[in-house]
Formats: sequence, C-alpha cells, structure tokens
Amino acid sequence: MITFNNVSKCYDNLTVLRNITFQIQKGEMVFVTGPTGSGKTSLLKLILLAERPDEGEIKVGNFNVTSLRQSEIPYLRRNIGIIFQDFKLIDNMTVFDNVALSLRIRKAKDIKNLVFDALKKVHLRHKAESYPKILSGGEQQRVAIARAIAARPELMLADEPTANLDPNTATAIMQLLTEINLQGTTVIIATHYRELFRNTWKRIFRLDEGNLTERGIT
Amino acid sequence: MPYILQSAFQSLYKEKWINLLSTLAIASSLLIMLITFFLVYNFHIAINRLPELFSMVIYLKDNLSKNDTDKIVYELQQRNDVSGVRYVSKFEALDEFKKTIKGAKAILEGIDDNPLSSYIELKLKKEFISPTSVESISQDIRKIHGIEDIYFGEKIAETIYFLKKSAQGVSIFLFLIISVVVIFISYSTVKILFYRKKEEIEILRLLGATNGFIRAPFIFEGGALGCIGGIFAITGVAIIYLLIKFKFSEIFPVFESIVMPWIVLPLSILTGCLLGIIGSLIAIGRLRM
Repeated sequence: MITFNNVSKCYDNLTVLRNITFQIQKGEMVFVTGPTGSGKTSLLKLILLAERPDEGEIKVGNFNVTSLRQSEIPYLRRNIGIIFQDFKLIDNMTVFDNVALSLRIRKAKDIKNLVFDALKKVHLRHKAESYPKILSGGEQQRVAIARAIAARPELMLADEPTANLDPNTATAIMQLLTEINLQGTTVIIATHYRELFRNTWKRIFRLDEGNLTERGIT
Repeated sequence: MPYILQSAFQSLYKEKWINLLSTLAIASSLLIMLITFFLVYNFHIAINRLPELFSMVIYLKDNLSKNDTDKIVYELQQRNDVSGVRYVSKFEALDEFKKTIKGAKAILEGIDDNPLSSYIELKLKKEFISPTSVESISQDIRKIHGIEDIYFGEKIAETIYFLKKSAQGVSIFLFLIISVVVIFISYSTVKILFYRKKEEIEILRLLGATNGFIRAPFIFEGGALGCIGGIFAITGVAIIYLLIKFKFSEIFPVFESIVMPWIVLPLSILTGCLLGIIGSLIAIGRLRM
C-alpha cells in the first residue's frame, strides 16, 4: 500500500527525515511515534504530498508520489482520509456540510445517505445540523473522522488525533479508528502518546532525530 | 444547490459590507462609463447630422453647352461617393443671390451682365466626409472637362471629421480606463476574500479538491459583484435619462431629442459580470496544491 525508499526531507539546514525506508501493507494499522518535532507530521505530509521529498521514492497505492504532477495531486488525496490534531472543520458549515464536503469534492452520488451513514458510525447523526463551534473537542474530532471515512478511502492518516482530548474521549476515538481498520482501511496514526498504542499489537515506527526505527508488535 | 453556488452565496452574505462597498464602487465606475457612452452616443447622432449640411460647390465654365452640362451632371451622379447632385444655372444663381441680398439691391446697380457662373451642388456620402477623401474627390472632379473651380469648405470637413474622431477616441479611452478600474476593484475584493478564506482553501486542498473546485466560487463571486454593480449602474443611468428627457426638457427643449440606446443596458450588466470574472481570475491566479 505504502512504500518509502531512502526518503529524506530537510527544512532549511535541518534534516527531519533521513534515508527512511519502510513498507506498509494494505489493511495494516501502524503507529508513528516520537517526540515533538521528530518528523511525524512531515512523514504524513509526504504521503499526502503536502510536501515533496528531497531524496528517495514514495509510492502510495498506484501512485508514484515522487513523480506526481501538480494536477494529479487531488486524485491521490481523494484516496486518503485525513484527521488532523486541530480537526480542520469549516466553522460556517454545518456538521452535515463538513462531512459532505469530501464527497462533493469527489463528485459522489447519494451524498445524503453516505453522510448520515458516516455520522451514525461516529454517533453524531443527531448533530447533523449543528455548527462545529458549539460541539465539544471530542465531538469535533468525531466529525473530522466522519468526514474522513464518508468517502470510504483505502488509506486513513491521523495526525495526533487525540492530542486535545480528555483520556475517555481519546479512548473512544481510538476505538473508532480501530473499527475503521478492522473494516479493511489502512490506518496510520502519528502520536506521541504511548498509551494509545500500548497493548494494540500493531507495528510502531519510532522517529528520533530524523532516523526511523521499527519496533515489533507490543 | 451545488456547493460552488452555495459557497459563493454564503460568502457574499457573510462578507456583505465589503461586498456592498465593492459593488457600489463598480456601480459608480460603470455609471460613469454609461453616462459617457450616453453623451457620446447623442453627440454622435448630432455630428452625423452635420454632413447633411456639408456640400461641395462645382463652378462650371461659361458658355458650356447644355449637352456638356448634362454630361458633367450625369458623370457626377454615377460616382459612388456622391449622394446628391443639384444643378443651378447662372440665372437661378442670380435669383438666389438676389434673394440673399434682399435689402441691398444697390450692389447690383450698374451691372448689366450676369457675373455669376452656373454651378453644381454636390452632396457627398457620410463616409466620404474626411479632409483627405474630400480633397481627393475634388482633385478627381477637377479633371472633368468644363469645370472652372471647386469650393468644398475644407474647414467644415476637417471640423466634422475631428469631432467624430474625438468623440470616438474619448469613448474608447474611457471604456478602457473604467474597464481597468472595475477589474481592479473586483481583483482587490476577491483577493481579500481569498485571504480570509485561506484556511478553508487549505482544508479543501488537503481533502483533494481540484483548482477548479476551489476557484469556481471566487469566480462566481467576482462575476456576481460585477453583475450587481451593472444593475445599480443601469438603474442610475435610466433615472438620469428619464429626468433629462421628461423634466429638464421642459426648461431646455433641446433635451427632447436625446436618445437612450436601451440595448446598452443589458450589455452593461454583461460587461460588469465579465470584468468581475476577469478581476477574480487575476486575483486567484495559479493555485499551488
């Protein structure tokens, strides 16, 4: 599903990722961990092609990300659902419209049913007409998850999905992501909270000073 | 409603004050453009009537036979630059002269012979009334056998030509200037809205939106600003026209003959819309993913 082959990324003179090589199979759930500033977000940005690598080759599904043209980037992103630490919801749109947005971008049909389906999965069907600002942090993150899963992507990226949430809500969010993975979606979660991946029996990539080390199943 | 329209209408409403200001600025510019066009159009109609007064006078040689005179008249009538030919014999010329100097007949006392020449009054077609073509036509006619002299009032031809060209020049210049102003207003507005929505655009990009998907609401917005500005402008010019035609003409009857080319009104809305879209396109430019 995802292949990194000797990938490096620098910002000015600072190397955040150095000769990174790994493979992630379809349907896997992988955690990327490391201290703040270790390059977790940069790694996700490279998969999403929000940044281009300085060296190396990246493949995501059928896309050779490294040589992808500007005009093809949207089509790569349409195969990826993404969840951000700060939710990135559009405040002047209702919950329904926020979730529907990813479907409208993909020119999907039967948007109404797909949106309600996604909201049902995150237990927020009753909040469809609410605006994000009146929702709690946990609810906002669940809306972001609904937006990410509504289009049924093959790959889901989550960047610190529980960073702003209390422990109970964080556990609920993790349960959701696990359920999504169990349905066949490849999930990559970047987080520095060890509690999230303790006893999950998943692969863990640890980033430190630009180097990636892989730990086995915990 | 499609997302593009929904997003554009939401933005038009949400940023209503900046949009209202921009619309009024566009409306003022288009109003100036329309008023100028209205004035130039009426000025043009007035100038177009002037060539009807312009004529070329061709004096014929004395003792020309009737046959020769008819030949000259026929030859002139066949020219494609001539719209009318009137032959005036020397006796008719004297009669006309007498009528002109009604109160000063003493001038003709002691003159037994008719000193005037017979002449032909030539009316040219409008499109040939320019200093160069009148000059070349007169030179051409001079070659005809039996012609003594030609008077064609170069100054009148020059003035008519100058006024026509100036009016056209002024209207084209103003159209260009105001087009740039409208494009700039629309550009600035859309640029501001674009920056205000930067975060939203970033989200759309990350979710896989294409350039077209992101740009379309802004282009629609620019077009809508220009369109609404156009509607305000035509309302303004229609009010001005009706006031002049039906109120001021009571005091100044000359205004009774003014004309409003109504077709220009829908065209103004279209122009506003088009200029608004051009401004938006420049403002958004090329987006990077």
